[in-house]
Amino acid sequence: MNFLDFTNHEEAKLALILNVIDPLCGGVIFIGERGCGKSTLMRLFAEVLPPDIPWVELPLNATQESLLGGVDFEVSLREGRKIYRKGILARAEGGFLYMDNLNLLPPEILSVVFSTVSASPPPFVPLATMYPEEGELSPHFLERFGMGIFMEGLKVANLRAEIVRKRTICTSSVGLTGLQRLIEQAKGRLSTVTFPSPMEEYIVDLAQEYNMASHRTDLFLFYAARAYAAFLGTKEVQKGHIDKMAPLVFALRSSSSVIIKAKEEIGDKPCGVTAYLEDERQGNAYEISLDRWCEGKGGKELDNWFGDTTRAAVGDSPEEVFEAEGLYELWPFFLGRDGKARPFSGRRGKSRGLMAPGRYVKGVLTGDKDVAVDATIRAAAPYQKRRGRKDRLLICPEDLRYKERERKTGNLFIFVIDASGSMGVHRKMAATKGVLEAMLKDCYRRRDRVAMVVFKKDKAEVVLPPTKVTPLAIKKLQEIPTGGKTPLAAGLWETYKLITREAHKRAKRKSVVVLLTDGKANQAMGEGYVFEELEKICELLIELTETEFMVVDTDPEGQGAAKLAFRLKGRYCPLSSFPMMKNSTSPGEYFTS
Amino acid sequence: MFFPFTAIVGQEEMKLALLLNVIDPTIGGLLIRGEKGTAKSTAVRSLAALLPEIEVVMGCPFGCDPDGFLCTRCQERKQKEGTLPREKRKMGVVELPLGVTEDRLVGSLDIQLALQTGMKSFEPGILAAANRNFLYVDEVNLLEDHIVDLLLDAAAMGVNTVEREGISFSHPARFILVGTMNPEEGDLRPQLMDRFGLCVQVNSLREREKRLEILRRKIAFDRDPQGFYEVWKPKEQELLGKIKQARERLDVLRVGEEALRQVVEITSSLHLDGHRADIVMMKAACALAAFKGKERPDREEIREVAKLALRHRLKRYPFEEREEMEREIEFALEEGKR
Repeated sequence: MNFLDFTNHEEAKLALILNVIDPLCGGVIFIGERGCGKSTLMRLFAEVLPPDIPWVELPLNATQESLLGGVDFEVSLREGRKIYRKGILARAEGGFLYMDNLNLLPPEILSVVFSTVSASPPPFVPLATMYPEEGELSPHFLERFGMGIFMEGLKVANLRAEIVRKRTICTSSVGLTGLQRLIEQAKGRLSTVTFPSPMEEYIVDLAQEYNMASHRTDLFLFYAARAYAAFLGTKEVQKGHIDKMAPLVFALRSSSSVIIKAKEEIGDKPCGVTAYLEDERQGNAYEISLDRWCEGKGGKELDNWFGDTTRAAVGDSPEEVFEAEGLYELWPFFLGRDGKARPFSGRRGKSRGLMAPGRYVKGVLTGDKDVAVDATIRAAAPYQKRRGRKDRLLICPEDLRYKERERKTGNLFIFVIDASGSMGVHRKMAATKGVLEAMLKDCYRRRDRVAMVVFKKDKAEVVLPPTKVTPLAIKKLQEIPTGGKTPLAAGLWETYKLITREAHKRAKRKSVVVLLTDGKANQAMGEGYVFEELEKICELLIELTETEFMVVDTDPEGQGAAKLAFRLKGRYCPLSSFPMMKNSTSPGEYFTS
Repeated sequence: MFFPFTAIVGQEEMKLALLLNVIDPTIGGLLIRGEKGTAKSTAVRSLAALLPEIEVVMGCPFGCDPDGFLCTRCQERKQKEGTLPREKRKMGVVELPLGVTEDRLVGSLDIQLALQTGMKSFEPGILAAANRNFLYVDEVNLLEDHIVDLLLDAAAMGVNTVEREGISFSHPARFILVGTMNPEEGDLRPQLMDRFGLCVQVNSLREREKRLEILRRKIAFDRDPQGFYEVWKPKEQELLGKIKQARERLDVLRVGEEALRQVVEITSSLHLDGHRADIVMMKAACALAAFKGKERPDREEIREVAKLALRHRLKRYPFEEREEMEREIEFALEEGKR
């Protein structure tokens, strides 16, 4: 199979092609579920590139040294002179850097990549894929891409049939070499394509209409439209070109509501959506039919991806929003030191290990790459005479010492909140929110990261992905409505998924799951029994490493919560055991300390 | 080739705050809070490219000022040789990447030398490279806490002293610290925020004409950087002249009792902790007066710099909107007037 055989996803292919024509287009990110062909298409695209254009993949375990290149200490120490390795970024120069699963890369790696891209002109074109459910990505990084394509897997039968048809059209006409020649020609035409000034105005108007804050948007749209015009062989950029490109450039920068609006307005505008490409040698024309953007369930999916999940309540039982009630006091170190050694915490303690950033504490015998020079030299010193040292230090492999580093890290606190109807009884939710607020403030002071999972009616959702912005958590907390059944299993399942996703990015960090529930589970996820499901998920949860559980029982008369705490081998405490504060201070004061 | 500073459309407050720091580097840097894609890093790089060359000790990796504070190496050299050779160079922008290690930031043992000769020697880090340049920290709020502490310590002292791995070395580390952050991704601790001299909030421009102008200028620049620069050269030269004059005037500027009183009135009515706000505000007002060619700063300059110096030092509450805080400053200024 080659790039052109790849069925459907014509916009994705077009976006890639335009970036070869003009690297100023700023790269492409494919966003979509696992198995929808994101990575496959990217790798097929590598074959389209002429041999002189570099294609470099960034592995998930890349370190800063491997990105930037640098001294290889292990080899250097043996050889006695500096040995440099060329970095990944340098190898990508003048070509493409492909990052599979962008959102699983640690932020410090991304920051190095994108600070390199921001040079003018950019040294390479960034390409990436991501599956949003596997981890969040700061919009700051997302915004650096010129275009974003939301890809969907192909599930509908008649669509498949159409694909078979399309496939035959594509393969029968221009082959890969044909496409390569078309790209070459477009590249040649690029500088002659004119951009009338009313079209520039049109770009700015569009960007403003769709609330595009960044000025980069305008520029990306300009270059995309120009490359598209060059590809089609048009001498001048027309409105249709801009309309066609606008969704590709805007989609990744907008909140979901804006996307839906844009979809309705731009997507259905009659414009030159069909482009004819001529294969000169064969004299045939073939059609790139450009699928309409964001079709079907696109809007709803985006909604989830961008975390805007607080939609108005629809459904059977009435919902009610309780305000937090009462100012609670946590016992000192309630969430922190309970007599157990906790190596991984923010201001709660220090963590030690061999991870890259962090303060160098001492040299140890085992490690990887990160050589502790001082300790190595000290280890080698006593043997110099015996080894017959003349002009330079003689280092043997057994002398090598590696750095142990230490850093202060925050825990991840996942608050799993039962917002079912039973929590509304006797205003239990109001007190729960009060206690939660106290816990969130504690997390703020200790620089922990927090996440919130809410379950009610028939499902659970992550209303707040892991963040350090605790005030945001408090705001989200206020908005949580109460009502419906208790899908406890779903809540735990979401939590499990969240922790495993985080483990990809931040291995070895501690997670603390705080469950606030009355434990009265009465809604299963699947067909089976509620409690069977619960048991299975609890088994999964207790197998997680670096994870602790705490159950805050909102209804100590029932037994559900206590049983849950037992199964999770976690701590148990009734809601009523939290002391109310006597001299209440304004809640804001926590944030100035 | 950098985009000319004077060709940046809008963002007047950010440009002013950068200029004030360039006129008087002791103001203590700038924190830029705001949205993505608003010319933050462009502004810093273009300003550095515009500034006049500085005199440094030839071959010194720390860029020591031959007439100023010298690094350990230059001191030894001066004692031995009597005079230090000089050369001129441009100011640069050194970027601090997220996830930087402590060794990389402050410097460490030079292994190559240690291995070949057995001598202990200091290998300069980012703080050394930053001396007498801009140090640009993108997303400063995402840096590891211990790195931020080191960074701000060095910035405050103007010296980087290293005592580790058997090395003892100190060198000047005077730089203009520019940090950027997106408040939506977590705030800096208040005590760190306070260490930045000035603070601006940047937003993308909403006016159509300005936005169009940004696009047109950037396209023109991408197409022919050199040609674009030639067009803006007279403006760049004019600004350069003003900066040079302002630096000279700053030395002879007098601060009246009246101005001091005004500054203190404003800060005390806002109940600010510490005295850094007063000092920074006064310095910024002086730099602005010098830039305008005035004899001394008065009410007008103080008012102009007040927000720059105060907005990040106000006591904050969780959901207090920025507008409210700005109003608070306005109010304090009005009070001072009466």
